[in-house]
Amino acid sequence: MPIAPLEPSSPPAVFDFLERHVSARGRAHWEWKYQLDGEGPARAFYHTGADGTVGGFVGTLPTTLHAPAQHARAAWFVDWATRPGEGSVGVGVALLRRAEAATDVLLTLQGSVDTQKILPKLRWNVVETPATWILRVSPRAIVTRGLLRRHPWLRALALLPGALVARNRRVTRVRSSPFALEEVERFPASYDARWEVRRPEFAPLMDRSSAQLNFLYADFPEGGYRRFLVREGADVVGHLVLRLDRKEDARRGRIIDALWPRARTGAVEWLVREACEILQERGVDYIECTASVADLERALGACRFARLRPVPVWYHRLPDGMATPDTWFITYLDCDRAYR
Amino acid sequence: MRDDIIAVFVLIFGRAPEQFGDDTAPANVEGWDSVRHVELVVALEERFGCMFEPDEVPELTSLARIEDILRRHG
Repeated sequence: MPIAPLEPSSPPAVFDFLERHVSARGRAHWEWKYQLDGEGPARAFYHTGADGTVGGFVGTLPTTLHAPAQHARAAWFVDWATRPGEGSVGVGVALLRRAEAATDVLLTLQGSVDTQKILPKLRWNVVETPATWILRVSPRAIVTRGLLRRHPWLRALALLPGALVARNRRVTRVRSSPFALEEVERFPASYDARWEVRRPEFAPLMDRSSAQLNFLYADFPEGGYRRFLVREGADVVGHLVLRLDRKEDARRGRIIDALWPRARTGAVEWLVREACEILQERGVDYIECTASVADLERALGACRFARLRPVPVWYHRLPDGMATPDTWFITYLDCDRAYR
Repeated sequence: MRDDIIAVFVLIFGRAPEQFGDDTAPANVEGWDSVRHVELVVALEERFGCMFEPDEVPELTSLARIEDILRRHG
């Protein structure tokens, strides 16, 4: 069979292909990402030509799409690459169709230039409701923009006003709140009962069970995430995931994912302010958040985040009656965008 | 069937029908790249009312192979 599932026993040439044509992450990364030590259905597929050459790869992040009245198997396709050259013509489409056959709803976020060219030809649709929001919090991040990015001598001059802006822009905590954060190593199985309560409040959205959150944010081999339970007194009422890393010599903070008691006035703004304060204390230059719903966007706006760019969601077929992705709750959790 | 397949090639690659024959392949048709192949696959499916299996898609690289595969689809 020219298309085969990725397994621990797959030929070394497949892992070489991943390192060369997808991302140089090392074998441990691929074993984690595609759960090669697990017993579930295959999450990734590769194509081999008649001469044994690996011609392409598609990898998915399986999940469940929960809507108010139904749920469906879903998967984000997160790695999609073919070997350059005419010998691989058609391999990418073949792999995409193989991935689509393994689930009910196949999706991707953003997409490379090639992906954006090919998917419309395959009759895929796109919505641009989610967006990345940004808050520049350090003087350096505030002045390293536009003209100032191109002219270092201007940047030096702008650092003082930048420091004043940064001081003014610093997000502060809500003085009094019934909520509190508890940092955890892993999300306990008991969190699933809370997830079941929150799910209808946020649907349509993808899986946020303790198993999925731990897979993404506790078991990730390269680390970098901080995980929190949101508490109200003795009760757990939601969660928060943050990430710190470096990008282009800057310290980047990200609000990766959160659920909160949605009907409670002020809960989401409290959560955003807490997240920002934790990241600011760690000295980040800027904070990013992907948001798709009005209440989270309002909270980000109240903290002076600016809408940076849309995050297109590409989708093909949806089950009958399923709402289109412009109504879904989407964060960095969706797809695999958080660690890029 | 061959004439119908060639009609799809004419539509996708914008060349005269007589320029497509048994030796037609990505190596000798200018512009037959991955993106154009997607257009070809979709156009063939629409013309012949079928859906190619994933393993068949990379095989659709000559008129003879396309004809073989389409005959399997009836």
